[in-house]
Amino acid sequence: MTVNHHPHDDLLLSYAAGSLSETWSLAVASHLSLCPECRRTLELAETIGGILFADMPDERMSLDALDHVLARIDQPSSEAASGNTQLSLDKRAIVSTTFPRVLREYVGHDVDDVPWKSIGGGAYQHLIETADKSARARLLRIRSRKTGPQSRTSRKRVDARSLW
Amino acid sequence: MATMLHSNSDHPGVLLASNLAVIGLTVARSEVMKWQVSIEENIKVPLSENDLLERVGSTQDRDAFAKLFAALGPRVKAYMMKIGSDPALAEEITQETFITVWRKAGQFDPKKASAVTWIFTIARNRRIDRLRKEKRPALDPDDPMLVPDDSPTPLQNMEQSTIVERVKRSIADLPEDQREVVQLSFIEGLSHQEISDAIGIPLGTVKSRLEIIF
Repeated sequence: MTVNHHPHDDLLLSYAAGSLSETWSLAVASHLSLCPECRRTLELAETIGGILFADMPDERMSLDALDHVLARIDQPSSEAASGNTQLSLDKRAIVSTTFPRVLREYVGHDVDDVPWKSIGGGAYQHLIETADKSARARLLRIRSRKTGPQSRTSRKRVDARSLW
Repeated sequence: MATMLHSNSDHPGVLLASNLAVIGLTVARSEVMKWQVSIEENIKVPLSENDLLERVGSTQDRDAFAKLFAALGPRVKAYMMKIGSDPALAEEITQETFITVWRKAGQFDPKKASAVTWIFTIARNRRIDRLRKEKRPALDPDDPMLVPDDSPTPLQNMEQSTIVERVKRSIADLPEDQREVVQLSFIEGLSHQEISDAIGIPLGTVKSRLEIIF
């Protein structure tokens, strides 16, 4: 899949700094899965963040901080204890043929099993549930006009801007 | 066991001028000025953060982990406080960050990022997990649906250390007020508009200042 629309650097920088809301992060992460060009931009932004981080003046840690950490790395991982490791292994077994994994996990289905709702004009939408109150993600499926009815492209839209 | 360092360099002075404390030193001069330095085993050659993290990843080296914690723990705490955590919470997230560093060290790839940048991104993610009720959907680098990068750019072929050096130099060259803009953007994650509002400079100026570096 070739991606023609790219998120603005402003969004990529906020994603790299970790300050982007859930909905926008979902859109950016889905885009990044499909766009090596933006992944390179992200890597550069993280490198710059890391350099600024390295230049910060230190804050003294408590004297027993290392002991606490060492004691905790000896405990079995809380993930393993709660069975999350198994869960993530199961997640890996789910085969997605169209959606990037990050989107697949949100939607719960791959493209053909999504409970699409028609919005007219041959277009369908599916609202994606998030905890984010500031924006809403909707997945749009729009029939390609140039090719036959069997061939469809799916598009995802957040607010008014398309990142796919 | 002695550590041996060899070079065919025409400039033996480069290594000799470094910070290594050298006890046993033999310099064998041939017609091409080859040299050899041997360092006795009790001399401590300081390991870089990359080396330390690789040791943690490959052999679960606790000593290397402790050194890494001593070197970068206080930096992670400073980062947490800079972006708004109180000292107690900053300390906690720093400890959680290093527990994650221990568990994920095997995934560290020095070709993709420096240890400092890698730990910075772990710290960033730990903070998000800790403070947000919302999830933060993230790119999965192992996703089979990932479109591979088949057009390597000069940036990609460049060594990580070279990229870091270049970016460092360009940040160091910035005037103080521009460095503030860069910091607000890359560390605090403010949008261009938010930076403009926060420090009272026009949006266009924020953008042009960021374009200098990015």
